Amino acid sequence: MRYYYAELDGSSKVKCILDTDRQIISASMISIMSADASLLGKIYVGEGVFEAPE
Amino acid sequence: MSIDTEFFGGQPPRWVSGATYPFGFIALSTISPHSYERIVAGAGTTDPSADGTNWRRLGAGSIKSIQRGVISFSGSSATATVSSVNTANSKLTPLGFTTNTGSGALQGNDATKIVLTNATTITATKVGAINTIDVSWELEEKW
Repeated sequence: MRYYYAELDGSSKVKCILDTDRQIISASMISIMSADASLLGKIYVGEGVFEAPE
Repeated sequence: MSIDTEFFGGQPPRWVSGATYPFGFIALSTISPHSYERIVAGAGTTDPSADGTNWRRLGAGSIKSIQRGVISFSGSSATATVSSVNTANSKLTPLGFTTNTGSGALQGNDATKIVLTNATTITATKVGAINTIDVSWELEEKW
């Protein structure tokens, strides 16, 4: 099974997309449905929602 | 190898936690798909695949895990978190880098280096600190 994460920096901006075989429990690692690189640079606003920075 | 397998053939027995093994005994790991030879007589509770002090793997290690990712950064360095790996058995491969949408043209000082800093961290660095760079990588860990 594969797990996909968006890693956030200190400003809640996505700095990395990860495709891995194990679960990671961390406040800065947001579980996502696929390795979607279009999330890079977006801001995580909570509850699975990412928004483009203004 | 046990007395039974020495006489009658077949695979080595599964390693059993707490059992005492003589030097040279061969057992199958309960975690990895490999066989291991006891190099120090004695007992233990750590699977041979994670006990390099008392066991050695027979043959080459197969792939344990593959992780992939993309790091996006505009400064001179950034880190990414990965699932924990044994750094001694892991290979990090860069898959290339591009400028992120909306940033300037790729420059010579945007050439990016990536390093497996520790068991859970990949660090990307470049000289330029203007353009946003997306660097892709693959991390392969073997048993």
